[in-house]
Amino acid sequence: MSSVVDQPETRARGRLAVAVRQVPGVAVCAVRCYLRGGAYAEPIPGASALAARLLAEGTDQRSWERLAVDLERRGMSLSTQGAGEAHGLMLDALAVDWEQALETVAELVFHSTFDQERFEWQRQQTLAEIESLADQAEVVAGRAFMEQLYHPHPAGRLVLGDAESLASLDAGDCARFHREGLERGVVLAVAGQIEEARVERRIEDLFGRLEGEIAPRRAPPPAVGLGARREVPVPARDQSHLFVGHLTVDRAHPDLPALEVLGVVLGAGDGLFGRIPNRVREQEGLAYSVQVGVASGAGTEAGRLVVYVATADATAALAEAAIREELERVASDGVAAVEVEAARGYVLGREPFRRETARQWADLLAESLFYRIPYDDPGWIRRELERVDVAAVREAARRHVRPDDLRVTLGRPRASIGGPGSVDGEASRSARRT
Amino acid sequence: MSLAVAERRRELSLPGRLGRFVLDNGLRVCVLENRVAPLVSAALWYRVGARDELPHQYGAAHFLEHMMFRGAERFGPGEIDRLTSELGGSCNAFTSHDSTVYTFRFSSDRWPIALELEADRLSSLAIDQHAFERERRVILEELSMYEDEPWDALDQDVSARMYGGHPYGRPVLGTRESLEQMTPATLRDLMRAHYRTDNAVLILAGDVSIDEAVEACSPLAAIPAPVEAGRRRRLPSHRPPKSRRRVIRRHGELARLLVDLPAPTATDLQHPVHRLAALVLGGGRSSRLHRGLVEDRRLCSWVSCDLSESEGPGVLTIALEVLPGVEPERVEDELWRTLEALATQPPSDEEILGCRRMAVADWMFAHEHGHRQALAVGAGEASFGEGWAQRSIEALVDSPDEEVRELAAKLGERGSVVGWSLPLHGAEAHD
Repeated sequence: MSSVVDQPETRARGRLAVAVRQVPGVAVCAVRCYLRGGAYAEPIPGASALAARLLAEGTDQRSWERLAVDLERRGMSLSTQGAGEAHGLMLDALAVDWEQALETVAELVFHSTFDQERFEWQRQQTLAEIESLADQAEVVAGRAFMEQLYHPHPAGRLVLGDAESLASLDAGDCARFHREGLERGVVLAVAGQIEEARVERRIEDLFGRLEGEIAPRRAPPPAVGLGARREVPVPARDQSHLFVGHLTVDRAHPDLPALEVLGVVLGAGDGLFGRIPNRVREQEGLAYSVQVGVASGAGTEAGRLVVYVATADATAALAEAAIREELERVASDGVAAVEVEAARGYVLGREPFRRETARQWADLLAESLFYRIPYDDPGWIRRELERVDVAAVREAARRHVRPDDLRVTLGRPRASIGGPGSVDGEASRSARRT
Repeated sequence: MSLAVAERRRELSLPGRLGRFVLDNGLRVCVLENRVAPLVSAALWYRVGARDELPHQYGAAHFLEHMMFRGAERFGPGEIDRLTSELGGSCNAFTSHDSTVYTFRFSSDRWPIALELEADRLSSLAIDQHAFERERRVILEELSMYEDEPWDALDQDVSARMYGGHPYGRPVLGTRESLEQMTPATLRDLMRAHYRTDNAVLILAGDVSIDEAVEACSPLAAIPAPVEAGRRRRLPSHRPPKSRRRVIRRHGELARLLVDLPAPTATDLQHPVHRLAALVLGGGRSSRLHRGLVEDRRLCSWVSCDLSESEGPGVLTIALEVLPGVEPERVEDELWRTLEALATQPPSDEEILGCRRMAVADWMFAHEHGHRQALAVGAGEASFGEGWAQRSIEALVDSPDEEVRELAAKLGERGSVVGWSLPLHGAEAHD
């Protein structure tokens, strides 16, 4: 974006970037702590997700069991996350327990033991989760679509890894990956009914050791993709799951605000407003589920234009034709001024909804620190969007919507495409334990 | 009750000030004024759901909910979504067995449009045949989606078995057959009977005062009062199963278990005691079921335990996913053993206190959001009685430990419905 803050780390020192915010309302607080790297930087698929899970599996001070009892009996809620660009943890607590919450996060980040027995158990649970995902038609088709767009970039594979990659990991790999994450930089955000100065002082005590230079991230292979069209079998009776799209831009791209407005014109907002949901669901009655994104998942890597529709197998071709027509229309004819005004009104009007609770604020602060973009500043967001006019949206549509370059994944009921011998066996292997 | 819980009890009130008024046409309005964020949530709660449908109407309450977005006299087809989006708001709706609820969220400088939209569709909804046919296709796709989702499909089978002929056993969406036979007249009849100002409650929560609410309600106040008195049929009685009933279906590659045990209505004094028992069983990693089935025996990848909140008979639901390679029978045996062990190894004081704290924290997080506050107030006002959100958590804090232990000790003896979703492969062996 044009006014990306190059060096927002005024709140950062060494390898730690911190944001703390008092949020009025209910007496709760939320802590988010993310280590840079994630699945895009992992040497073996699944290392990031398992490293994150092992953060809740015991430290040199407390066993997993003791941790669970101590946290749950204070009403705290801990979850771990291994994502594309980071791994880390989220802890929600009553405001009165803010200090224990911070101490716990520091303990998990610096003192997790990455015990081999707990690793093996987590690996077994992860394999079960992969198998569980393979029972969900939308997930199977969605994973195949991601692979079709991003392969061999890690965004094209399941963050959890697969049976083969998980078999080649051990607890030491996860511990090493976590330590490297600490070297690549840590983002810490705290929000809630707290005293900011006290929280900042405590953070200094607990996390001050993260001094020194930030280590560079391992560069993932570029996204190439797997051709224009694929069909995969999904566990469904008679509904097909259609994904249509292509790669677009990353978060720092100057066209992103215009694309965000364009996305709403096409149907990325709430409800059924937008050209594609209006056409597919409201006019033609082809689907209940219609989702649209124009830069979905954009981060340091490119996001994607994606239209998802769940429709009867017999009407999948009609739905695909309708989506293609709408994308061709927006690329060739652009958008009307009245549509841009409405979409911009939507995006601006939604802003206060993103900042209502302590948990939302913690997420927003972490996102701002992570991408070094001031999403936490409503004034900055307003200025960015006010610069978006109809010409900018038309230009963004012309540049970034490419009807001739669409990739299509159609997840079809197994019975419709000949049972387990799928048209595309690769896709089913990527999402299922074999 | 420990000191810590007593202290936290002071925090157990919905943020803001609650006020009420009634329009001349009988519409009750509740306002939860809370100026923390410049947002207003509106929830219009009609006391009609799938339980109110006659046999030829199965699925009509939900179908009508869809049609309420299809245009009326002043705001035509697509206008609700268009206007809401342009103003940066959001709108949605849901139908349960007990209620149908329409929600809007807007910034506080533009929220009154929500009430104009509600008044228009309540007073002049058009159910055009062409739009009706299109929406039927959309709902049939929605039905397919739930049928393919392993948990939704299993839950429906188990509910049908648990409730038998009781309305709670019917799918809210209806069936393919009932939807195919439905006509616009079916929806009009249902609407005429139940979408009445004296059968609805409007909740406004957030950056809004009573005076502002009174002024903004003028479009709703202009709707004439119903001429004839409305009447809602009482829920029929329900005899929960006395023994263990079973349901088996086939889907995918993983075994999933869902067990329903009979539980009280949300207003029953025993409901909070059940809530604590559910937390003892499935509240987090330190719970009995997680430790027994997931950690100690390593039979499942996860397990949960939830309690329903309904006007009629409820259920306590245990759900779990079996680890690949583990025999489902072994999991079920271990589940019943864990339940039966509650009699000989009752929950300790510390265990119950932990669950109480967990419930209090869950309650606070659940009510952090203005929208959730509106829904909590609405559930009370429309279904469970004024102040229910507050009363229910206070009752939980006050529930005697001994009652939790007594209940837990007998849970394993209850009749139940045991639903298995078993892998497609190896069907012959299991059948």
